[in-house]
Amino acid sequence: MGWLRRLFSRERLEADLDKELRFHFESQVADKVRSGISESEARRLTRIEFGGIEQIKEDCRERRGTMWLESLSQDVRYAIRQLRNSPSFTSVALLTLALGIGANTAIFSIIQGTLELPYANADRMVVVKNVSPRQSHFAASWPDFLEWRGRSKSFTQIAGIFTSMMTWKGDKEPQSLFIGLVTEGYFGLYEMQPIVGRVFLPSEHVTGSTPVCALGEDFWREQFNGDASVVGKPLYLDGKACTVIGVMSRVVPDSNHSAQVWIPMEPNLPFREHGSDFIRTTGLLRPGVSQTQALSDLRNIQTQVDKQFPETAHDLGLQSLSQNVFGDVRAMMFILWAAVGFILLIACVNLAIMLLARASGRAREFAVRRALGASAARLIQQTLAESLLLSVSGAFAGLAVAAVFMHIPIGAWPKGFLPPSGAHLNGEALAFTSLLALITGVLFGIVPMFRILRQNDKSALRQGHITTDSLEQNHTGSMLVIAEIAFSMLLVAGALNMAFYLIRLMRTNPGVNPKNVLVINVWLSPQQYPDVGKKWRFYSTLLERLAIIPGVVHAAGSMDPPFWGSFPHGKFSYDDQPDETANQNPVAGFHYVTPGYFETVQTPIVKGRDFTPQDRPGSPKVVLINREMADRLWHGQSAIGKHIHCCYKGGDFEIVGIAGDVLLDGLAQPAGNEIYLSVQQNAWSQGLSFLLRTSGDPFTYVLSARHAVSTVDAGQAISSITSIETLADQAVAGQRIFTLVTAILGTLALLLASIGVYGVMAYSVNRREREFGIRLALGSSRSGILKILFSGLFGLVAAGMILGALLTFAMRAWIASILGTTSGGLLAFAASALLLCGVAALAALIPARIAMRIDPMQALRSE
Amino acid sequence: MKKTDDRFDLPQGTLDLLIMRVVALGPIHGYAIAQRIQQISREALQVQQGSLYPALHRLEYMKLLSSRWKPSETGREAKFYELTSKGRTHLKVETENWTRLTDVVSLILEGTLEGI
Repeated sequence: MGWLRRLFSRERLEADLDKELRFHFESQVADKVRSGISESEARRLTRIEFGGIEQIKEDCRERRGTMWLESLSQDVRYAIRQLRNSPSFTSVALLTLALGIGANTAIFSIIQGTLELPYANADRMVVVKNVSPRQSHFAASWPDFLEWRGRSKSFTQIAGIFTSMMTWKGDKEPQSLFIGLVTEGYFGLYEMQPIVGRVFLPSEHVTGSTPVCALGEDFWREQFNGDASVVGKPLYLDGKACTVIGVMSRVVPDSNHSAQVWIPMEPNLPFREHGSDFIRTTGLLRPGVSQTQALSDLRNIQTQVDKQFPETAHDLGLQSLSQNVFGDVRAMMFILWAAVGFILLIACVNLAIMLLARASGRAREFAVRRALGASAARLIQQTLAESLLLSVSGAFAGLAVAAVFMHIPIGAWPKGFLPPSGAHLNGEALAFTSLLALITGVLFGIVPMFRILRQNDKSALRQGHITTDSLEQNHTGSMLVIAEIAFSMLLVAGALNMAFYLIRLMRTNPGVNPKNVLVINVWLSPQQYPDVGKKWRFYSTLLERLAIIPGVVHAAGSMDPPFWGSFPHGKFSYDDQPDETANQNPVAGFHYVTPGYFETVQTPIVKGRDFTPQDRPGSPKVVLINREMADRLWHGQSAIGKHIHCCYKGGDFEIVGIAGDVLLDGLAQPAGNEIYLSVQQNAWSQGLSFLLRTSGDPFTYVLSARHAVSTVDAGQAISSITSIETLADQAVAGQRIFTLVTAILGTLALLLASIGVYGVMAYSVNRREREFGIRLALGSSRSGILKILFSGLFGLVAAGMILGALLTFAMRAWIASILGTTSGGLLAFAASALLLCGVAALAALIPARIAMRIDPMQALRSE
Repeated sequence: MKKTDDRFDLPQGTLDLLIMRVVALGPIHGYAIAQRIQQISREALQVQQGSLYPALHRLEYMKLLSSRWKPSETGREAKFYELTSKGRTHLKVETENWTRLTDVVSLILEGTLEGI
């Protein structure tokens, strides 16, 4: 570190150098005096011999090796002065960098923080899926699960969960709890630890063992204030006691297992027959075993099971846990990632434009300094210092922007989406984006320098040389503007497309009227309501009580209220089915409803009749279907009176009515085949949602509804209360947040584009001031000048927009495939083109005003 | 103030060699080095301050020379240079190289060109 020490002892070194040379000088003078020359003459001669003493010193310093560092600190100080001298350039460049770096760091941090599973073996965790459309999207019934776990060789661990609800009688009124029934090894597989107490023992995973349960962390904190003494005490679920053995840590961003209480599956599973495929199965692949190998292993086992039970045969698929959990969100995030990537690109282009303009504007300064003896390396070093300084401060500003920007999507995060708990500023992202900005800065700060230095003619030195280089003649500059407009076009069109799509989505008539419908979800305990008759008695009594509440217009029950998002799908066969399709039965969604449902949600029955109380278990089984299905399968002939065969615990059904189409699947999907079945005839589920169409705000009826439930069964809990409107909002929440973020990015792109256009125009006006002066002096009108300026600009903007249009078209298919949307098309396109033109014109306004104010006399006299 | 007209430019790198050779004789300051080279070369070589001091500083930076301030013969403080052990080795190697080079060059220049 010799050079460092030398740097700090610079003054002593300077003194030494001076002293050393002085000694030499004096010795030489003394020698001359000794040879008989007068002192004054000797000094004069020595001085001549010595030449420039400062030059010698400089040479010595350069040999010393601290030169570069000294000049660097000098350069940085010079750069700070330079940047401070042009505050508009500096602030605009910094703003550009801060926005570009900030947006990227934020999005990248969110992606990193939320889309990674927190498990050590996350890459080997897979979920078994049911790929044949059946009642359930989970793949395993209890016998299936046992076969897989017993015979599969591809997994080190297989564990399952079945989620259900149970009524808990706490201190206050009864409550419905989400219960996770887990197999042995489940906690281990998901790396869940007990906070208090222990996990289930293997002996507790056996039928007939003492009932035990574990509490979920959130439930424990809410209901027991985090009291550890709860361990060992009994908890009453559905009237039966289980001993609390521990509290399990809060789990992962996997919405499929957010249980409030955990119990062992083996002794408690209610459905154990083939066909009840309700177990969600997760496996840990043996190291070295691929998903394909594991799948074929599972399929082999399942095929043998299916041979014995062909009725319940189903096809399996495997999906990585991470894809299963994050699939949809990840797709959206990647689009956002691409979008911010373009933002960064625009920011870099912007920076390039500004640096280019700046370097050209300083051509004369550099020429002068070159003429005065500055080396080319020295000038480049200085430019480098300026770029570096800019990039580093830009990165710091970007950090601040990222910290703020990150909270926009997090704050608006919709319920049911992943909580971005792990999202914090990501150093890697910041480093990456800053590096990119740095490279841009260096590249575009220095490249023009080479051109200036290479020219080597002294034209720049000459006073009053006239530049007429317009935007179009400055090729690099024009290319950059075009690129910038193109990228902005892509982002703006994308954002508008999303916005239009959302608006269209919200305006689409969903086929139900979501206003003023209260939804009360009730889950009956299988102990108290074991059979269809008892369940139906509860449902029908409650419906009667609800219907007489003053202000309730209609009341009905449904297993999946509109926009609930999940309902069973399955294959069915039907009358008049063409023989060739016998092997590939069509798929339909099954909806279980009570009489009066269609009136309540205001879906019209276009033909036939609604269910009636006479459609009871003993009478002929009947269904309603939707119009789409009737049209598709019976081609306009009346479907009424036809029969279909379908469904879990189903059979043969006669079609008695045709209902209007409903867009249930988050409004995004077109109507499919929908079959409505009677709850009364098929009341196999323990849960039902009660829908109340009310006059006025539905939530004012909550108390009366609660009262009605308690008069039917005082011990019965309400598991949740919501409204169809809320459910509908949640269904588009993902779209809404995505639209919000794209809108922010689109605005950012516009802002950056306007900065870029402003920079280029201001530069151009500045450079051509003399030219315009001459034009004016020769009789050109001011509007003529304006025309020159704007025709140049709009040529570039037009070229950029064409390029942007091509880019958008190229990416459209990709984005549509991820989002499942059709593109908004021409409207978004035209609007974004208009917007960009407007912004470009606006950005050019200030420079244009300056150009208009040019005084020909002053412009010609300048310099 | 030209004393001689038969002075010539030193080839690149030779000055370093000459300086080190002079310094090898014992601690010596810059002015004396210039004087000594002039004397030994019988006035044929006159080392300019503009070349001498940058060369000295470079050699010091390269750790071939070390320096120390002490009183000179006139009583004034002067900066005395000494060879470091690294410098000594360097001088030895460079001297051998130089000798070999000059031998070869003179062999060619003074040869009869018969071999060609």
